Amino acid sequence: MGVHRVELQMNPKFLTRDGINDTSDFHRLVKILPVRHIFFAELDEGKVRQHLRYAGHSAQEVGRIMERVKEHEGDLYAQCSVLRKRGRLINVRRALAPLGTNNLVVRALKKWSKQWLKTQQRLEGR
Amino acid sequence: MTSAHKMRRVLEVLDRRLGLSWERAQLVDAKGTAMCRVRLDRLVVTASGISEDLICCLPGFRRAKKHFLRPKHPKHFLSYGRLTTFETTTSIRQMIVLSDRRMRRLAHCKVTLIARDETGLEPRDVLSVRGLLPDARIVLVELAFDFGFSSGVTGAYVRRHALFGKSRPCNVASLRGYDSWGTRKGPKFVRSYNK
Repeated sequence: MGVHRVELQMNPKFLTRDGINDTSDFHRLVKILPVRHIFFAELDEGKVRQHLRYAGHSAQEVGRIMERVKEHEGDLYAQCSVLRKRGRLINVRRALAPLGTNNLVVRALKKWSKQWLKTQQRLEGR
Repeated sequence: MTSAHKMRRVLEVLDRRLGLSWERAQLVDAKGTAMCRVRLDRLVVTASGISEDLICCLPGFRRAKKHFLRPKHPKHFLSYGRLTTFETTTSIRQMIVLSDRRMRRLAHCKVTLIARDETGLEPRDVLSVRGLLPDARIVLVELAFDFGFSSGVTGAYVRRHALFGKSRPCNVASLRGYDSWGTRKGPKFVRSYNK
């Protein structure tokens, strides 16, 4: 097919928590999935430094933590983990800058959910 | 061996292990594909009953298999005792019906709809099956986000930039061309691979 596929398998725990019991609830996934469950971002170095300073680290310590973060370049989970453990940051997401791919995801999800809504409405109209 | 040589060697090994250039080459071959498309890949529904004869009456549906299930080991527990497989000419590639429940607390039957890769499950096909299932309740939804070449999304990009809520990396950068986050039994399981 020549595409890169990201597959999201939502199990019963997820579906009951968010109240998706029928196909008529699919349109709600447009609000549920982006950002909360699928999010493309990169670390914003300026924001990271700022939050590390807010957390009470000295300039030297901030430099050391940033070195550790750079060691994990290419793995966002590992970078966030360093910031949580070494940097004592509670909400690492504040230091992330969202990427344009998120807009692609939202647009594609909207298009997909619209298909379901239209078909359902057409069937109910009959 | 100088450090530059060592670095090059490490990159070569990484490339071979994770299939980075292979991924890029695969995506270059498909330049005309859409940036991002969402498809419903799999849907599992439980219901309080099913009429298999009525399903056979749906246009394009054909019963392919029907048999009892046997545990492979005497200690294994089977939740359902009977399996029926339907093949269709619609966007549903395969429909698997598990019936004859072995525990009272289970639903009477469990229906799995598996999509064709090119189309995904289309609403009218799913709703035509859904109409034949009384008290249907969705228990599993699998959504596929297909990123085309023009979006610039590859396995490396996903590893580098994607966060999937609280799901933790499971098989990341350990298998060639395949990464996963979360667990199969948890609330959410995410896979990333080239198709």
